[in-house]
Amino acid sequence: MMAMPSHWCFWCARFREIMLDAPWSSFDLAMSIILILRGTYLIAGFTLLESVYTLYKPLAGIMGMWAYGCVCLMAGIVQVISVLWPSRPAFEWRLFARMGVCFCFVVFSLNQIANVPPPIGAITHLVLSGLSIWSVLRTSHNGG
Amino acid sequence: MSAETGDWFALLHWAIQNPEKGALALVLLAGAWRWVRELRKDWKEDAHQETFTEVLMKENKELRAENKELVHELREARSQRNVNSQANLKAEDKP
Repeated sequence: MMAMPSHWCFWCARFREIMLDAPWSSFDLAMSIILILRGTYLIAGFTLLESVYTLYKPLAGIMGMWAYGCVCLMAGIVQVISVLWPSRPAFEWRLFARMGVCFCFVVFSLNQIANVPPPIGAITHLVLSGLSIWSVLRTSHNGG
Repeated sequence: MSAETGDWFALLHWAIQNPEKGALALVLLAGAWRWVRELRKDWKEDAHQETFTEVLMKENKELRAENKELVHELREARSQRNVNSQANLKAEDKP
């Protein structure tokens, strides 16, 4: 009797396909839009983040929210250019763009995890930072 | 808790307490690892390309030698045929 593969195998194969082979342009685009909006929000002088929300106080003490705003905006712009470029940009350029996005998300994710108790947004940031780290690791010359 | 687990915990604690340093270290590590892997992949492909060229050259050499042998055999066969035809002509000339 022939052994039938279980449904788990198909699900694992599908998950593997999404993580390794499926194009991640939509993920990159979403991350770049988030970073551009976040950067603009921080640069626009929303000092509330520094003064009112205790969550962001540790970050404000290190570089200042304005500096974080600039970093986020720059990373978002570089990534959106990389995604919307008519042809596939060079490997180095794509890697650099994804590293910028990854840096921003990991910083905010670690900051939220460090807060006691962690806010509900920490889960979102943790997942997004994990996926952005994976996007760096899956960047290759021939796509990805 | 073992000493190794304690070290990992301390590293994690440091990364959480210094988010920008932890993030920078993580991103640089991931980027460098990816870059090195791609460079190694390119290097391996180049090496493979070189061996492929070598195989082609070797095959070319073998085919040339075989061709040379065939030409030699053909010439010998032709000269043998000429000798035979001349011998036949001489035999016919004789009364």
